[in-house]
Amino acid sequence: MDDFVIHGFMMSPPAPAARPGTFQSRLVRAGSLTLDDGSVVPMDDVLLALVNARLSAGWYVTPEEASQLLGVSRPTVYKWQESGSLGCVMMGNRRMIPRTDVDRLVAAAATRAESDRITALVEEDAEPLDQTSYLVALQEARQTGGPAEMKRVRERQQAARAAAAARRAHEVAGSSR
Amino acid sequence: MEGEAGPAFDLDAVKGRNKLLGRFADQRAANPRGTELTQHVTGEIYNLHAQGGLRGATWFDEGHYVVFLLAASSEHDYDRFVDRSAAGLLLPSRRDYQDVTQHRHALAQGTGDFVEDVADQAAELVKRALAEPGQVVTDILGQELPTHVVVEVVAVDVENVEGDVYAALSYEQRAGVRPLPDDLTSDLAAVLFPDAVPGSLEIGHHRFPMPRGRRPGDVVIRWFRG
Repeated sequence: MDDFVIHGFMMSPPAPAARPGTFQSRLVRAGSLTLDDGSVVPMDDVLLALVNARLSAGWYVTPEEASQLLGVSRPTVYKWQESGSLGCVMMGNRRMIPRTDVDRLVAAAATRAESDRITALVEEDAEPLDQTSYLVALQEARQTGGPAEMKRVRERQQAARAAAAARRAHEVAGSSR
Repeated sequence: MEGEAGPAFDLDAVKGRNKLLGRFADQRAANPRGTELTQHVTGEIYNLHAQGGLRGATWFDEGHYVVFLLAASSEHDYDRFVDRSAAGLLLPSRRDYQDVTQHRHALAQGTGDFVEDVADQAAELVKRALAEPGQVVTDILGQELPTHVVVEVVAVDVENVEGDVYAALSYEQRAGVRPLPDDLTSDLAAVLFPDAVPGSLEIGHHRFPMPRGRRPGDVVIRWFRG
């Protein structure tokens, strides 16, 4: 899908499925569009129609919708808008959020959850296996449980590597001055 | 900013919206370590400056080739860094390192797991080599890693060929490119030789049979089939 430019403001596509019934209340009826550089563009009829078309397609969500999708409070959404983690496009007096930004944070949260799961597989003082032992562990895992068991061995090794890296960070950084 | 971790995000996507993140992305890409040491904290931590009194503390883990933005504050508030350092909360945790692993997987193509992506291709490559003893067969695993496999011909009669199998992971060595991690080499050995019994594979100390020989950057895996 092509990017769509309104007076220098780049609207990046994603195009999640529109959710009928949710966009009508936030259609822009008049006023202005505030661009990323702070300049304000009066909304003529053509621009209004284009913006509303994007809203209808679900390109932007309200802070309320973002808070539901992200599972955080509305003040947290505003805080993330201020810090730049979420974009902010003023449409009239509404602080709309690009849907791509919300989707990106949802994906990031899933990644962090995966990090938590893998980190918890080993103790804080876990040591990774040496190369030969790790290879043998993988081969034995294949014999006993197939690819799924091999994946578990790999994740434990990853977690042990992360634990060792954190310990080493404290040793190296802490002793180098 | 508070000391707790913020939402993980793609730095490139948001650096234009936050002055400190912008400086972090631009400055530490050019100079990972930094220039001005943070005072009164433990470790080789460096200051990061951005307009409006925004301050950051960063640490470059050269071994893992990653720069961490450890903490951020407004209004020149370095005391926050000192307090977190004193509490042992400034440097990255094991979860942070696991995040690095996850992030790097996410950046990869395919499923984000190189080993899983190439498992079938690797096993097929070895099958081809077993079908043609003495011939070096080559493929580029995951379109990234040139890999050569050969079955050494040590005894031939009309119906039988015996010999160990060698695989060379031909990872290009050049400035700025890190060698293959040991764990990844083991992962690849396991998927290249799924039928090998535990203990029958050795990594790294073998010369790939002629005519290829061993080349700089190659990691050679030998499957003892005896």
